[in-house]
Amino acid sequence: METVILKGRKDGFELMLADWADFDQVTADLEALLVQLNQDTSTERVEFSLESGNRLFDEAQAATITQIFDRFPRFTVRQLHSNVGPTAELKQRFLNQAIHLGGGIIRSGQRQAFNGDVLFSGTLHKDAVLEATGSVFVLGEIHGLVIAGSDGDASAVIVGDVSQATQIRIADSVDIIADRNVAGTSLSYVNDLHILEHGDAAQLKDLRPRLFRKMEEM
Amino acid sequence: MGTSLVVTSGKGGVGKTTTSANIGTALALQGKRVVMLDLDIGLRNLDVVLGLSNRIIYDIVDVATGRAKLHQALIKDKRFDDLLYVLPAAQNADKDSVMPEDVVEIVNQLRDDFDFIILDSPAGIEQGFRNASAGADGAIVVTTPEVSSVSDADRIVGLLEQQEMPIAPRLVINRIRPHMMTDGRSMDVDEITKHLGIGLLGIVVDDDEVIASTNKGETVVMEPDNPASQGYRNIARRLLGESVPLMAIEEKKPGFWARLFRRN
Repeated sequence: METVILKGRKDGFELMLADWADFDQVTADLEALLVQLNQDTSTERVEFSLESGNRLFDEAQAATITQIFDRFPRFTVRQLHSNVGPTAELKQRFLNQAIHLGGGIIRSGQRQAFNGDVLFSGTLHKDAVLEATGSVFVLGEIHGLVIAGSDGDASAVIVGDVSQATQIRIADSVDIIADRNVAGTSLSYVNDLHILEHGDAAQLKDLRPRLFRKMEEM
Repeated sequence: MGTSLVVTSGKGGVGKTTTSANIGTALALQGKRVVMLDLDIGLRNLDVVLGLSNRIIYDIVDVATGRAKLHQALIKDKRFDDLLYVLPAAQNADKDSVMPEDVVEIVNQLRDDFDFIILDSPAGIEQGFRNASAGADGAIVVTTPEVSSVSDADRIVGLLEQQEMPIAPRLVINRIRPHMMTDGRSMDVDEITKHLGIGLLGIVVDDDEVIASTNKGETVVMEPDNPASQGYRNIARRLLGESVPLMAIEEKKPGFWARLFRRN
């Protein structure tokens, strides 16, 4: 079986590098194919898209492939695509999508930060910070600062009784709770006018349907 | 092997040194061998509270830097036979003159000779606090019923919990004014204990005699009938494992005649 297959697509040429073959074999076959193409084709420049299937090339392997193409000035690589990604990156992506669980007491001066959404069961003391890049759900007393959408995600929400909190922040919106009465509310969100608003958790289904569906699926 | 306890609070002026001195004295009154370490480098006053200032020759910095042996720097309180000692802090040294490992070394040297090693921490959460807590098996967190003091105590408890000491931190609520708790103008004992989420070791009422005795270089715990003294004595008994109920906080109500003659 051939380890390098040339395919013509409507957006250009694609070279499929077999993921089941030894890398040295693939590079040897690739080089041979490029030599052949260099002889057979006319003088125009050709761009290739490289597809590595279920193999992820490391930096050294990618550099080896680049070096092979450097020997053929008319041929360039448009992209090197793989079906798979680095474990750490994918794990992080998975973690960002999961709802994290936190709990206990966050004391004055302490900060707990999460990537993604967090369900926190416990007490947030004054001058303590609970922060998430996604939404924050709190079962317990909040006397400190809650930050949702800390990376700028204005669609994030805070669910819980924030009436005793010092402040809440969603993306770049800040609400100093001490200045107003939000007793009886259980949902804080940024509305279409980019104003931080307080309402009832039952509104979540209408206001953030995607988040609501995600919770239902859990 | 002795138990080392750091007395700390975060906020200044809540009575850490007074608490250290009184708990240490109360333990000595119970027949325990106690040594107290003043770790407030540059602002020492544990020796003043105990009336031992005149007897200082060497201090903890001298011990840490090897200028003096540990036993040379310990000051014996002669009122308690061979039971109560103080290792004073330096008055004219930088607070970084002593490092956490120096304190651990000193505490370990003292463990065989003493039942309790009490480390009087300075206010704040910087070097002095780190020194004091490094050598401790457990912590006594002192707070007053003020919101700022409770908030600082909360911060301290968080830092202590990160250290994972063998003995969990316990709380002393100092300078309680019963009438303010009764009429709801200050946080009450349950409120503070619940908020901080650590075990309550004891309460001490605010009493003029605490200041008066300190000014004389004595500890109030020597006066058995004083309510503050009873608070400290109860704390010492609880540290020794006794089950002592919490003293009732009662405001002394003036009698009929007292009220009558106080009227304008």
